[in-house]
Amino acid sequence: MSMKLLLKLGGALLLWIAVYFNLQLATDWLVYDVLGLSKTEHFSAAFAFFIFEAPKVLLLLTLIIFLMGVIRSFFTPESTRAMLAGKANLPSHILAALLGVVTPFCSCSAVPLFIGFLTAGVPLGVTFAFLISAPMVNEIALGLLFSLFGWKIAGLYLGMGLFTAIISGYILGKLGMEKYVEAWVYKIPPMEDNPEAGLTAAERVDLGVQAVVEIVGKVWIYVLLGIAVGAGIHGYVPENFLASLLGATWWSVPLAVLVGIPMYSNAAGIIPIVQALLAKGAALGTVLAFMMAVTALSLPEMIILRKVLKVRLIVTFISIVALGILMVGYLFNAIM
Amino acid sequence: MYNIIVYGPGCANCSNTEKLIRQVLTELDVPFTLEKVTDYQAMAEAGIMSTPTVKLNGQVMSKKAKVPSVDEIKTWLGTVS
Repeated sequence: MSMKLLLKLGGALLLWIAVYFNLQLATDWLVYDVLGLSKTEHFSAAFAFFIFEAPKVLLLLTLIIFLMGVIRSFFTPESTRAMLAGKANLPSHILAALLGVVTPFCSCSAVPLFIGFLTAGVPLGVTFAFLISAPMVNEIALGLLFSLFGWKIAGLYLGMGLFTAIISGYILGKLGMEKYVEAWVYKIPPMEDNPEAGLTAAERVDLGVQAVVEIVGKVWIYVLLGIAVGAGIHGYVPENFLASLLGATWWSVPLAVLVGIPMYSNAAGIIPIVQALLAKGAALGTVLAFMMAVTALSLPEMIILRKVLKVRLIVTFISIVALGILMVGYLFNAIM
Repeated sequence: MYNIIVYGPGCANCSNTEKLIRQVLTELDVPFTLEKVTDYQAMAEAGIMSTPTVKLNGQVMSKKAKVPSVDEIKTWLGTVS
């Protein structure tokens, strides 16, 4: 890594730290000194919360997305495929789910990736473990949960998502459903690997910056909405308004999963909903199950998958993933 | 003469990639052909795993699964002549 790049990175990090740790001071100064709002008023408290929280969350998100962008530059679908080919044991399912988190993946390339994996000899169950984990536990979902709700909830979501992907992939592999993959898929000749030249440190940093521009540039509005919802409904809707409806009752988790499955949204779009649900007393397991169902399964994705999978396999896929999510939702509500 | 193929289903990134390449080449005023492949079977047969993938005169240019920048496109054009 060149000296110049190190200096740039160091400078950016120092600036980040300086801003991040002075936000409370800056907020108090702006809200109470400059604007002269009263500290006791309800509105000014909500306003100060928003002014403090919005830059804080965006700063955290920027840092996480940048780091994930750099980490992702070390992985390609090709290198991931090479690591997964051949083995159908439990460790390979675990590896597949983990690689789903760090391999660059756009949900529209699910089908080409699916074919590419299968023709290279990646077992069906391992391929599914990857395909379940990739859209559900990605840098956007983790970055948002971490910056809005802290590392505990982000870590729980990561663990639960990986668990669901591993178990679902493993079961799907054991069921021997290969015959429900459209026949033409297996007739595709194995793809040749055209390995890309390794990237330089500067290019990796550049990819991190690009990830920030692209992702934060797209999701900031949902983040602000989420925070506004959190600040806005505070005190206006009774604290435990949803507790009776979406608390830890036995039917709240299946309801959340059923509502979530057909919905199509990335993690960012449902953050305001998640924020509102959590703030008003819905149980954490229920809310995270909802988020997982929305991101992991969707109607448009199933329509695309129909090109390579027969209906029976799609239905099995949905059922097993839904059951997995259901299980973690219950587990969560039980232990929290 | 540049022969370009953009592999990608109908997602936003893929159409934006196609649009941008068309725009850059039209502005440079060089002769080119541009084909968009949306069929999954054709993609698989060409060995494409992430979309959008851009091929220029038979060479894979980008596998980063994102829309290239204008500078990137111009760099690609420099690699073949």
